[in-house]
Amino acid sequence: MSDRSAGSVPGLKVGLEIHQQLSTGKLFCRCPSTLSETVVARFQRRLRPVQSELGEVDKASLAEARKAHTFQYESTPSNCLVEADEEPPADPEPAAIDVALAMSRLLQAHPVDELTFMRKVVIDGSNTSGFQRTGLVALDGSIVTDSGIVGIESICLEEDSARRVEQDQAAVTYRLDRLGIPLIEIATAPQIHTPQHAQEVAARLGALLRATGRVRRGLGTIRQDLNVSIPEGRRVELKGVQDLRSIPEVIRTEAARQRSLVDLATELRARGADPASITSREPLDLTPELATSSAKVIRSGVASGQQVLAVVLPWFEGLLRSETSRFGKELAGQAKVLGLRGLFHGDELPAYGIELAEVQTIRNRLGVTPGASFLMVVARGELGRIVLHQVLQRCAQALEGVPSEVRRVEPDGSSAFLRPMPGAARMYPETDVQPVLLDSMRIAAAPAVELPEQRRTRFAREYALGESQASQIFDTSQEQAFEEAMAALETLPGNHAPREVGPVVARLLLQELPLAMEGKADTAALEPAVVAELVIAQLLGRIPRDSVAPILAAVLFEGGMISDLINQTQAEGLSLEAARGIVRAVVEERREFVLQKGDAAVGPLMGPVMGRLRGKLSGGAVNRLVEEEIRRLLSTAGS
Amino acid sequence: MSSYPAPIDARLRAIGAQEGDTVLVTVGERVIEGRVMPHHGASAMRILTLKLSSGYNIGVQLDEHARLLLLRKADAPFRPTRVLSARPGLRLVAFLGTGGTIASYVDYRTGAVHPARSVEDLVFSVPEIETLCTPRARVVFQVFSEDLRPSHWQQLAQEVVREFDGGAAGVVIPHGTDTLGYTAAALSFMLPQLCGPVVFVGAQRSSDRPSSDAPENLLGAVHGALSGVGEVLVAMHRTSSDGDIALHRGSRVRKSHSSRRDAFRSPNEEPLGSVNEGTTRFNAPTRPAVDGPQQALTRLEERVALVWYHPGIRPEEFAHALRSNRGVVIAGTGLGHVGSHLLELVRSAVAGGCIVGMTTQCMSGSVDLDVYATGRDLVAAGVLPLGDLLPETATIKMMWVLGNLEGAQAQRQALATDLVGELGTSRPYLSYDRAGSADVARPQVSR
Repeated sequence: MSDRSAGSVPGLKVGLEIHQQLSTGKLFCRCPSTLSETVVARFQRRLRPVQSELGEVDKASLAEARKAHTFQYESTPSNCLVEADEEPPADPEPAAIDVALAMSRLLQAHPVDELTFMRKVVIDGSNTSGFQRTGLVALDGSIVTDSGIVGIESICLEEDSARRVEQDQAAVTYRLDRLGIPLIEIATAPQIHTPQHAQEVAARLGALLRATGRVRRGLGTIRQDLNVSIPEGRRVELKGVQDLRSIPEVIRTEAARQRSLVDLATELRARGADPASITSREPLDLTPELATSSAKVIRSGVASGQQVLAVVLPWFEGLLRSETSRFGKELAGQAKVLGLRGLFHGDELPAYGIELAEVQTIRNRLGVTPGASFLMVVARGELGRIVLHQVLQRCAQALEGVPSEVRRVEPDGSSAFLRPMPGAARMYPETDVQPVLLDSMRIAAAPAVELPEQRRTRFAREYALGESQASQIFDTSQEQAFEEAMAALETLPGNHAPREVGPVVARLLLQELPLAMEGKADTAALEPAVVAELVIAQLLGRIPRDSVAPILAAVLFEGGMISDLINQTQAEGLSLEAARGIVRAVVEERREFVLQKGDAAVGPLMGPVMGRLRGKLSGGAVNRLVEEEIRRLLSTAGS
Repeated sequence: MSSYPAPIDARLRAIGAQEGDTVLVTVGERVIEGRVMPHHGASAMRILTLKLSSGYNIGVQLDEHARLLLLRKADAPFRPTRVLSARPGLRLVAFLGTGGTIASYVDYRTGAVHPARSVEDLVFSVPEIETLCTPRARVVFQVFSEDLRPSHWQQLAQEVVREFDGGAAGVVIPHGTDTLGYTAAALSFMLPQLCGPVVFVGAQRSSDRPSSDAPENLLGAVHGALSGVGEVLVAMHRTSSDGDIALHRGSRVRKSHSSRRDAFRSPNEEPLGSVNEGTTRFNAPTRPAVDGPQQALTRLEERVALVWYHPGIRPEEFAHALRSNRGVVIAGTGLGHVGSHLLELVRSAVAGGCIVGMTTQCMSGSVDLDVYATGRDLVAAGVLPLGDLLPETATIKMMWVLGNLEGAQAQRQALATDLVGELGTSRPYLSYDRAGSADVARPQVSR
């Protein structure tokens, strides 16, 4: 694994696909682009794969069709009949087209002359219509980063899918709030050759998107898909990388997975494996033999009416689980998408409570010969047979190396099979939406965008941020949150000079907020008004700085009201007058020192004063009190 | 000849390119390769729509300085042909195609929506149909439902008779939804003695979509067609959810929503029946099937008008309708009223031989001309109260009654009588509540 430590993978090709939600209205109706916890109606639907003109049902659609068909939907106040597939789509949201055009400009891509929305067939239920509306806005751009130039193949505008809120054996439940939120999809050419460069490109694209000022913030509002291949592998699409920092590791893991599949193919060919005699094996019903198995998962499955089915897998002995191969896990992934929790294979047994004697029985009944292995599932009705046939297909496919497919990224950086790579046949025109002419006037109408580096310079200038503070705001993707908080401050009473409050806002976002989050989820829930109120309360000395993080945590995780929390903290803390008494006492105790040093005594006195007031009053407020009390002493002593 | 306006069409013809062919467009240094798609009606004049290899369509401005090159001709489309065959032991159901959303399909190569080539296509799109019956399919006409005329109703009624005489157990009629209720009402009167069900069915979402309501509606229609009743029915979604198909009585149903799946409602009653997961139930007594040769009474009086009263209606406009027709149905306000300033016009029209019937323009409910003075005056003027007949159904009934019965007395009596289940005697309490909220869950805040 020297490649891994070096961080480079020879011949690696990576393309990125970024999906960013926009904060404009929804793409094809006039509902707000906000999520909602209120469910106003429920309904259920089925989706059917449709035949194409050529009489072919798309491969990806077919794989979905084998799965459960019934979907439950929850409609919310962020929905209308359009998301319920009960009304034709409205005209596309002009502000969303603006953002796509602005991105085209930033990436030197060429807008198409006329934008045509398409229906991309998706029948996993995440779209009530059975398709996702998507349009190609611009082609052939490029993005420049420190590690080089990467081509931008396309910039698309599409509608986000419904979000899955529940899944059990019987049905999947989707909430419609997210459906129809505009997404910008930016696809790079497969011209990225190191894992690190992929992260760099993703970070830059994210920064440019945020620079438009029209993107949604928070967890899940930006999603990165990676297209990865190694020289002898094939293109695999990895879906749903949420954290930029995990991109290099996800790529390295996928490259290693492809490598091991290439090695597996080599080994199978060396063993003389023949795909036809793998796929032609018929599963045997071993339910009677295993009804009283020592393994609880089998016993209880049989007791509830499930069947135990097993099948011989020739040539695979020792290849399902080894130091370099996790092919067994690959097969389990296939079983899982068809609705099983997993499968057993010969390389891992005895285990899971299945004893050696039982393994022997299985081997004997199946007639497993040396060099061969076997697969076994516990499932209801026809499902077991369907799964085993599917898995045998996948085993035969192993002779060809890496299959081109779509995989879902897991939290640990590995991935699981989702579906075969879809073909281009999945798209046909959305005839309910009229094409949009993108002539020079329409393109010019898209507002100009301030580049991140220009914006950073402006932040430093307008808000008196230090160089590192300004950089950190951008590095943590909080530039929009920062400016929204600054705007919220302007709406509060009092005269808050931007250069005075700017650093306090920045400090809150960069220091107190991470403290409050403790590594937890989502910062999108933090309203700009909350930041503004906290900053003002601090500046007025109503709350000490150390109570900012606890108040933030209470707002974010306990749904506390910001004004209540500030009042409560202030009440529990010291009144300004009581604090003044304490400060005065300290100053009096050091009367000689103060008379001797004059104003210069402020600094040395801060230590002892803070010793008594820490956590009760902000440092700034204490500082002001110390200054006032020293002046008072000096003026009375002088008279 | 392409679907493009002249300038683009000429460019395509100059290089021998047709829709479906692959071309190369060069504008300056930019080169775009794609398949020529049909012209979109709302596209700009000089825009050529191309399908890229990614599957996306884009519009390309084809100016004078843009160069166009033919790369490849399209392959001839493969058209699988299948023939319906007899299924031993399964009863014969006839499918009569008439056009509409339910029969449309998308040409995936070009993206154009076409009427289905045959009713077979429709039947094959729902494989379960062949497990329920022996289907026999043919197209009677291919018309958008808004273009249907009474002559189409007459033709269709004759075709239904032919199918029953040819041994069909039931007839399914896929139909555009816009005027489906009218056609169903017309056939209800034209075929008063049916030997099996006639089931109209439509779709609110086209069949090219995975979410189309067509398959479930069609299956519901087949179940209805095998139910053995002597009714004209309409099979459509009862709610927005799948799996719940209502069987409405053809003379009681109205398209009540412009786009929802559950657009069809029987405003003054529970739907006559339902099909749930393959089980057919009827909620009220049905008209029995009557054996023997079928007869269609298709004559219609075309000098019949439907007048929607509104406060600003001009007396001369109202008078014109009364003068130029043998029968007039008024969709009056509330319990069945028109402004009293029109009373004298009504009185003289009736005296002159015009039959005037009153219905309500309210979405639900019956007329009652005994409650208010205006109503009593209208009756005195000779207006016939038509109960809870829907105005559009009343119009068709008027056309049929005036076309088939002789003598004003007989005609007036038939209009006031329930002939084929079109007239309700009572309106159940839930018929209105349900109609307004037949849908899904009560509002609630989720977990």
